Amino acid sequence: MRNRSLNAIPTSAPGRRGTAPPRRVAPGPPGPPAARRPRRTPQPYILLAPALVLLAVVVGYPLVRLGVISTQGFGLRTLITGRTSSVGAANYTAILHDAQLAPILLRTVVFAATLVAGTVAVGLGAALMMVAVGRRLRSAMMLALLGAWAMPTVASTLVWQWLFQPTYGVVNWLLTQLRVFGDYRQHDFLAHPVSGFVVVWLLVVWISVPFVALTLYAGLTQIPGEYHEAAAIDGAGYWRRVRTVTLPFLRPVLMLVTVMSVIWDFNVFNQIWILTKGGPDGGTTTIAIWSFTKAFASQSYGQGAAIAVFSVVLLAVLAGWWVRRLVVAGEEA
Amino acid sequence: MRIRIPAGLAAGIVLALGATACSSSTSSGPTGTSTPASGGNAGKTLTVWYMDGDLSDAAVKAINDKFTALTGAQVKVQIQQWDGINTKVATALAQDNPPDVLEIGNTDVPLFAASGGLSDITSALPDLQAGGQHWLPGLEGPATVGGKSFGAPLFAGNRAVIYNKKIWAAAGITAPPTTFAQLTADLDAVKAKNTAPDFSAFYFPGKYWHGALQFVWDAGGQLAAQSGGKWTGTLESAEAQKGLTAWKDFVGKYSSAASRDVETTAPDFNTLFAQGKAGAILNSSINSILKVGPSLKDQIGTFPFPSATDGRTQPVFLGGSDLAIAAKSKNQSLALAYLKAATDPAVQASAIVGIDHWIPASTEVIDQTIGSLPATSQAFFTAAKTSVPTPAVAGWATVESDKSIDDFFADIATGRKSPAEAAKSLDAHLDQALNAPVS
Repeated sequence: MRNRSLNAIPTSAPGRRGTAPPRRVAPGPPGPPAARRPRRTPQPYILLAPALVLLAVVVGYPLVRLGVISTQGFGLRTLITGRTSSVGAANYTAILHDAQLAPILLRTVVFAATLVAGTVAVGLGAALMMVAVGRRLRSAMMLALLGAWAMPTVASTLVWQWLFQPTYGVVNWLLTQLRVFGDYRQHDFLAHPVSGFVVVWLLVVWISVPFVALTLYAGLTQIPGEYHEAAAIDGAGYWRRVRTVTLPFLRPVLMLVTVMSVIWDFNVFNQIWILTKGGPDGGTTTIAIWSFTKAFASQSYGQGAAIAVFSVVLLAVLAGWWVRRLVVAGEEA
Repeated sequence: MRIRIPAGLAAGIVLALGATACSSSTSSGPTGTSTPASGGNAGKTLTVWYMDGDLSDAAVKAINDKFTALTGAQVKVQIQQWDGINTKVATALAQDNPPDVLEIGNTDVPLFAASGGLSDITSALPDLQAGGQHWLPGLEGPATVGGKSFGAPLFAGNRAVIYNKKIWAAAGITAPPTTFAQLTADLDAVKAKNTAPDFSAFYFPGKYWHGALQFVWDAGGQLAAQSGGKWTGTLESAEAQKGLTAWKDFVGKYSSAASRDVETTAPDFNTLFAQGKAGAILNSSINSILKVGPSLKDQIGTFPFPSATDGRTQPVFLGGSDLAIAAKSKNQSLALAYLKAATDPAVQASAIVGIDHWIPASTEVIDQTIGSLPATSQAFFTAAKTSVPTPAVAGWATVESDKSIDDFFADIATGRKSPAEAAKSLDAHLDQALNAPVS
């Protein structure tokens, strides 16, 4: 059922307006094949098979393996000797009784929420700006966004580390040059959990904005100009038009990028690990960092896998609930 | 997981000390000799894993030649990169046809020994240590788990004070200090002379446990103690607390405020030193400094960090590597012969010290070779004679990899926690991690 709901997303927004504009909004799959469903033909399945096989091998198998390992006492000895032993739900009980669980979950949710909000807000702003500016500036913006997007996260994280480091940090120097905050050249941003989080937040938003901005821009270009014209003739100002014309049309795309941002930001790892290692005093340890240190620092692959499964389930439930809610809201309107 | 001296640094030491060979190339082709000699081993080939940047090709060849002379078998050398090495070694040890001999970082040895991947070489020790060789405790200790030995030392590197003679001379100091009181008096003079906010008389990053532990050991403290097969964190002991407080006072006084919560790499302390922003640092070689500032060559002095007890030097953390035999290797006796060739005092003196200027496997070889070294290397050799191992237990790798030991010292240096509070929480973590069963 969920698949069908997802298919319905791209087409739901125009329907919501009750106007049925030309079907240019999204190049989604053909409409709900309700009428054709009884006729079961094998062709679609044959065409789907290669993708399904690939997904089963690349995504399915590791996921199943992860699930299996999470029920085993899997450590380094297991890896070397190949002898596994089932421990039932012990890995899960250990996690659920870990005093770290609640603060880490809370931290992860707050961190992901602020990241998603920041990414979508900045990305939407950039997309609106790209529509508004002239062609040259638009090309320049696209190039800049693609550049930021193309940079490997490890490389950009190392650049960030340099920008914000004491003594040689560029940001430290800039803040000092402003002559407002005093001498910041010896300041260590990563030494405090809050400012450390802010540095990581800036980096992740910077990396994530290009995808969001370009996708939203693509969505914006699909909105027929007549609607804006009609609204303008009726006397609607810019913000009014954004609210009543742009956003409703953009809704499915916005939803898509938000869901994807939630999934990505929930699992941010490189940026946090390289910049703060989850410190100071565990202040930036999110669920991804926790899973990594359990699995690869403590060599408890079983427990690390259990945390990973736990976060997959949590994400699936959260994302599923939210997608359903939005779809239902879309269909009712 | 990787506790040792960075590979690049190792390569650099070789260059800086003017050795002719450059660091190991990444080629993995067979470099073994092929002179079939006595014994029934001619035609057999032993596969050996070396780590990138540790021993030079020439030093490896010297060991291989000795091995071939002993056994008649050949050697196939494969150079491994450090990145993700523990996973790679674990996977290799799990195979039915693993490499026969592996170079393993000394603090990683317990992890693999406890997991059943390495061969027990205890019965061969009398032969390997023939001639009364005393292996360095910092290398032998971690390879000994539960009274059994799982590795033979290959080489070591350790830390000594590196200071800028020009900056010190400007403050009126001309001879290196030999006591802790002299050191602090000298640093006071350097500090008084240099008042810039980014200058450190002695730059000592907060996240630098290899260095900070020297203070704990010097005061008679230990990370953890074992009794009845159970490890207990002992940083709350009076001795360890004394050392931690001494360290906190030292860095608080002589190292810049910006150094409290950083690692040695960001900002890079070699660069800080090379640019004159630090009067002294504690590091394992002068070579990374020379890479940034080649003109400093004649301006660098070294001395072992003096102990709070006059006449001694601070015990050092010994980084380095052991050679171990894969338990699933089908050439156990040949592999043992390779260990014998690598720890041979003559090979150690000529290759490990003579070619690569590393610290050799035994105190006897140190004494024998120290006179022939450049002046800046001698301080490192002197300091190496008093070394302390990290707990020889698989769980130690956890403490290092999850960075709790880094946070521990940074918490103390920044004042986020008092030494007593910080020790309480790390002791609890040590109790849990060091006693965690290996599954």
